[in-house]
Amino acid sequence: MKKRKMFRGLANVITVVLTAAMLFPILWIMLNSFKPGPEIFAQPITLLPEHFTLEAYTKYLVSNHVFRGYLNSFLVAMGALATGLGLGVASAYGLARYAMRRNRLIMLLFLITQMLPASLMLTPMYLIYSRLGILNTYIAPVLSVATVSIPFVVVTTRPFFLNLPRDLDDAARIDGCNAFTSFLRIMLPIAKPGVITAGALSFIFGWNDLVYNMTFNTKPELRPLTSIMYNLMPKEGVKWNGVMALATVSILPIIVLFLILQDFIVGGLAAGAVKE
Amino acid sequence: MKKKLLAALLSGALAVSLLTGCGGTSGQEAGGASEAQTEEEGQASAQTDNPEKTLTVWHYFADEAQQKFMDQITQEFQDAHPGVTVSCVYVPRDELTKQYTMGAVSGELPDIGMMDNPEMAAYIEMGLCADITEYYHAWDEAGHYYEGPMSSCMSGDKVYGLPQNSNCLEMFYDAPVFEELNLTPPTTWDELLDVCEKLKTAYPDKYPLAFSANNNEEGTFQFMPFLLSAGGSIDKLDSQESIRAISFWKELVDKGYVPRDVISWGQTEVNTQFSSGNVFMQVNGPWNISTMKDEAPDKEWKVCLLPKDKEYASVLGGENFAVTSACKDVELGWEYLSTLCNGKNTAEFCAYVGKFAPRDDGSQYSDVWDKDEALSVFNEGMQYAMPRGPHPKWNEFSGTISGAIQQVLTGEKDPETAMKDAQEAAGKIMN
Amino acid sequence: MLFVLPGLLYMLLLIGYPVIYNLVISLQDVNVMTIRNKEAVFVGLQNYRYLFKEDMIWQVMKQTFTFTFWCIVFQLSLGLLLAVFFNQKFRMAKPARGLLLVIWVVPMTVVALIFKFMFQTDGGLINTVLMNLHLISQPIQWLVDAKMAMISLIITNCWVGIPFNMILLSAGLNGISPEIYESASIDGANGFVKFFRITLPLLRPAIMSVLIMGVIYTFKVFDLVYVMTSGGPNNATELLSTYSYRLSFTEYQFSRGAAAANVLLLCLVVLAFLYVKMMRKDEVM
Repeated sequence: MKKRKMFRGLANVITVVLTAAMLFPILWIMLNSFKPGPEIFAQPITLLPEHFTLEAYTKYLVSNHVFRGYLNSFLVAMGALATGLGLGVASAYGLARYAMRRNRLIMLLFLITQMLPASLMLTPMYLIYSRLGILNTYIAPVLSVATVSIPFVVVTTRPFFLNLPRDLDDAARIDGCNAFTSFLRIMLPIAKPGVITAGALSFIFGWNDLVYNMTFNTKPELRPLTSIMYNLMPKEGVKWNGVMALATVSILPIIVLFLILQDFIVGGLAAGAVKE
Repeated sequence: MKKKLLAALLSGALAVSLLTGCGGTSGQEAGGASEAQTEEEGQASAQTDNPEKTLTVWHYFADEAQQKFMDQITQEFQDAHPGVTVSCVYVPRDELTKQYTMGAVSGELPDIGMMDNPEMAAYIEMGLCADITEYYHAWDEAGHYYEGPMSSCMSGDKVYGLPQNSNCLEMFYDAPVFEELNLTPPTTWDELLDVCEKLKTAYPDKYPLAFSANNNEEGTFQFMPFLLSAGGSIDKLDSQESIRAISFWKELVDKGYVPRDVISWGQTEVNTQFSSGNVFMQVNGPWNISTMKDEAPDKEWKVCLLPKDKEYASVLGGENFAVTSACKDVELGWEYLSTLCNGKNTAEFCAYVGKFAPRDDGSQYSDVWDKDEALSVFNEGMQYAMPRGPHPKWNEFSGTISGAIQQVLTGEKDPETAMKDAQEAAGKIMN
Repeated sequence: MLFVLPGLLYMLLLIGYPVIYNLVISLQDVNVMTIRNKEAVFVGLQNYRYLFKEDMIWQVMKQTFTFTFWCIVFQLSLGLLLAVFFNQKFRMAKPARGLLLVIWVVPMTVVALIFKFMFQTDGGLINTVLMNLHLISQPIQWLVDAKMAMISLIITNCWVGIPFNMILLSAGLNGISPEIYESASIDGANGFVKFFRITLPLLRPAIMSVLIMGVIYTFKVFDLVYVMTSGGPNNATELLSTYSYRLSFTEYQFSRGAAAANVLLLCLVVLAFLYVKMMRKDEVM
């Protein structure tokens, strides 16, 4: 028991040091957002802001419609999350649950759709959206981000369904469930940790997307936070503290959200659920 | 099984082509009235439901001052043309390039677009710009343009756009440090080496000079003045003079006068390092003046002509505007273009943001280019500024130059070999 | 099949066209001079022949594989290590796990910008710290030296990738019933035995998933390289993705750009094919 306690103490210390080191660049971004522009590059480096200022926040946030940006980012991320989970989880379940000889091929297809770099997908996708008339709407980036999240969800949640006992499904069927209700009522809740993790990550795909939002939305009102940030880093003169400030405000809500939801996201709920 | 899969694939592809085949209406959504407009001006919005009378303008003016000016001109234009709504949208430069490229395929373009002058020839070749030759020749201000900037808007005899501003590269230096060490701004390469030596001795931890030797157009742009000053030319990259120019850059880096990091620095980073005081001289353009005044108001700096080898030289930068081929009402587009680029607006814009009018009547509207200490130096330099291209394959060509610079500065190749190889590659591209 | 179909159709509809589009373009001659012509000229494999005649594509491919290989090795092993470590029951484990994921939320362009500045040779944060700790006597030329530039990119990409791997593997670990470990303990198995006999085999499907996604994502990394080094110094960090982008969007050699992208695609298809082959019978069911 004593050994156990020692381990925990040591583990806690290691964790704190490690996490602090890993998170340092983010802290660095935040600290820099409180410095005036030139101080960010001053040599020798100042760790804490020498001339503390909120200038970056007052100057860049309001004028760039950050609140609208939050809303846009959120809508795109939620849209991509819903599409990605809805279609992805079902596919993953289907692939895991039913013995189909073409499973390998389907998996391969899902994977292949991920393989072109986004930059090369832009022109043809642009053509499609242009014909459909959905450029400069939320739909275009949502559809595009979902093409990233669907295969991701399929690949990452499939192992969870693989671990599920088939008897459960069979039992549900006997109780009068059809394939869909059995999936929704029985299988899905059990695979929850995997689904939630995949969902949280899909949300971030949407929240972090720059290239699709930038390319398919040139309307200033529809720009998400990432686009606004990108607008502050043009070749002609990067607004350093502005970028840092914007990065800070775009990261903060996610930090809060993750800390609140981390039990869900990392699972934990599941531990007892998978019993035969 | 494979057959079924193939069938599924084909039907998928078919469905896409069906989807994309029909539907194809909805052109460029007008981008809507920008928020500023709807707030400030109510009366024009009554007309916005007429889609024929909407103009979308894309520019990459990142600066607030520049954006404000665009809004002013938009206002002026809307007042003069009741019933027309103009929406000015800022799109970052890299993104704009991408949008134009995709526009060449999809046809989705703004009505008016801003273009960097070395890129313009490619856009004209790609069919992105509407032919405005007739309108141009009928315009009473047509004769005012300088040849260099204007040539970038033309292909053969045809006119595809108007130059809106020009700039060139000179040298900024840290005035207090120069005073402290009793240095005078160098005028020749030898003097430059001398000044660098003194700065390095006094401040071994810092760097005397910086320029951008990036792996892209910026590197080529910054190297051009040195190349030209040595008597080299982009047609003969392997000449003794061209090799001398690149060797000079190598010398500056090897002696520790210029940080090795410059091969990853863009011009912005060079300016940031200069205004943070890590570097005492920088090769850069007048667009940094407002940035520095804004971000580092306490910094004391001055500008001098780039030191020369054989002769003073600089490189011409600047932006053009064009009516795109997607503009349905070219006449209206031209109206906007000629308002934006008329003598008064061009001069006021350039004076306001610290650039130069690409036309001979600038001084009629503003005297800032003679009066302002820094701008007057750039103004003197403008007469030595040579344009890049114009050539539709300029970017590809430019890549060989910036590539050669990187090879030399990293020591991968010696100057002779690098420039010889670059000349060979350039020859292949241009044929 | 009913479960799979909607997702699959969606992907094929949206992605099928781009894939075919790129394939077609790569077989034509589309560049800045010819894009105006309505009818593109079919040139067969000429663009591919052109690419492979130059040394550049081989160099770029080699660099792409090097980058991917080391990124995967580090982020997967360290990710797994952290996942197992944080799966132990101690107070800081859960908050740390949540916090680390925040790294993944920072937009890639910002990550690239901030690391570019931390990697500056003179006055960069990393060199300053290393010098002050007396670990190095001369500043390391991170982004200037060809080899170091690649290492800088790998470090940065791993910084983003480790939490991502960790979180996915943690979720996988949670799926393993604690009873299995308990019975193993009763049988007298120690930590190492448990890890290699129970954790690894049971985690295999999850590891394989993370592996293949990681390979795909790393192989086509773009923003990071584009902002941090834009392929430099001296093309030492040019990857297939940035190379094809440069061909298409800077040099306006659309067909060659598409051809380079298809080379990337082909490499990944081969890797994915191996992955699917390696999926065990029981995993496919």
